[in-house]
Amino acid sequence: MSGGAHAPQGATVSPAYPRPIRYPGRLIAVEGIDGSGKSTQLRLLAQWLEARGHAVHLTAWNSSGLVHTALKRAKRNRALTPTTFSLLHAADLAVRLECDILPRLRAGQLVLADRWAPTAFARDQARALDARWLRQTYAFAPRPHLAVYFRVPVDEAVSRILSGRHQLKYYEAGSDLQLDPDPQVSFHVFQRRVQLHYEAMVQAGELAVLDGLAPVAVQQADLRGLLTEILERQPRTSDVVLPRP
Amino acid sequence: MHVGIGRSKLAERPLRDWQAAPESGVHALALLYAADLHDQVEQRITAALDAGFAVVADRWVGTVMARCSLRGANPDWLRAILPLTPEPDCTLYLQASPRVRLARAIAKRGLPSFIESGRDLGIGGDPLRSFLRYQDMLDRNQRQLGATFGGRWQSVTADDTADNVQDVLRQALAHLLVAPAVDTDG
Repeated sequence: MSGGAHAPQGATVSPAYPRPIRYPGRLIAVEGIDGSGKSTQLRLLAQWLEARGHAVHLTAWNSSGLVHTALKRAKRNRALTPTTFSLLHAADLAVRLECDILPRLRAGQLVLADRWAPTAFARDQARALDARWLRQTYAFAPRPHLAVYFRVPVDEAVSRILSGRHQLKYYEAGSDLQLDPDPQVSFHVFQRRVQLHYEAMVQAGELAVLDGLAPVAVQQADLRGLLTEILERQPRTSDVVLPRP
Repeated sequence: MHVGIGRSKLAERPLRDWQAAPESGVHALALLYAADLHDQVEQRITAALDAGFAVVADRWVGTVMARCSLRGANPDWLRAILPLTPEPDCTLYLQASPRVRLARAIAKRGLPSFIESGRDLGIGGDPLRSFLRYQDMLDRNQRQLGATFGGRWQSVTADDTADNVQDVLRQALAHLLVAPAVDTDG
């Protein structure tokens, strides 16, 4: 083999993300930096939707059986580079999409995703990966019908995370980028970078915004409001006529 | 240095697990292969090449492209995610007829595995018939893709004995194996 740069830049297919979904179900994603409160809001939303009779499936970032263990081991051993970090997370999403998400969208269900491709676009660009390459890599992932970004200041996010535990994780803090020896300082710098990339997606109209500093009940009401149009067209479980066995 | 597909610590296990769960889909397979190859490039190959080592890969990007495009992945997408550099100085494609491959596979491991015989593709019949069809499809796909990788792709007939095939491989590589310069100044 010849030596030379191996960075993923320079690939030449046109970006395919986002692309429309043509299934009867609906895909809704929440986004934000760690500690933005999106997971809490998504759980509350799922309970509300189920109480209204909708079939709901929750799916979380890095949760597939096939990839999760490998990622956990690699994180523990600090064996990931930005490129392999990105590719394994993409593989995780691909497994969940194929096995859990697409069948439910085909069946007309609501799929609520705690993070989707924009998480990779923001985090991996913050790790200096090429934006175009990231869009190409996630070309297999359909665009959500609604993607909501929970906007919070980084200081607030750090204080929320540290109120639940004493330490920031190595990759969570962006320590792999050697931004600062102090994990808290590193987290601030890294999350600010992530935030900038999220804000660019907001500007491009890819993400709707909710105020992550508002009271929980207000955020939840606003989130439900964003779903109004989707829910008007979405049948409830009781409306779905199942074929006879 | 020996490298090749499925040889990184990072992705070796999930790649093996995928074989037991091919319903996870071709995109996951391709992305795992991409992580596997990028990891080897970043952690081992680049440094080895810089240090003057010869790096020998037991299957590389071409095999991944052939396997995954046969399972429905877009070749342009595969080129985008796989490490196309460093480009091999020479790719030797050992081309054996499907029946020779079948005999060798059975001698080595017994009945070919579910994936090795392409049974996840539903291309028909019993495992042996499926193996023959799948290997034939792979072979055609690999040669077509090989042509797109430029002039450093060389096909070697591999139906012969191991010793004879080895002689051909050594001849094919002779031009790359230049004797190292000897320092005569001191």
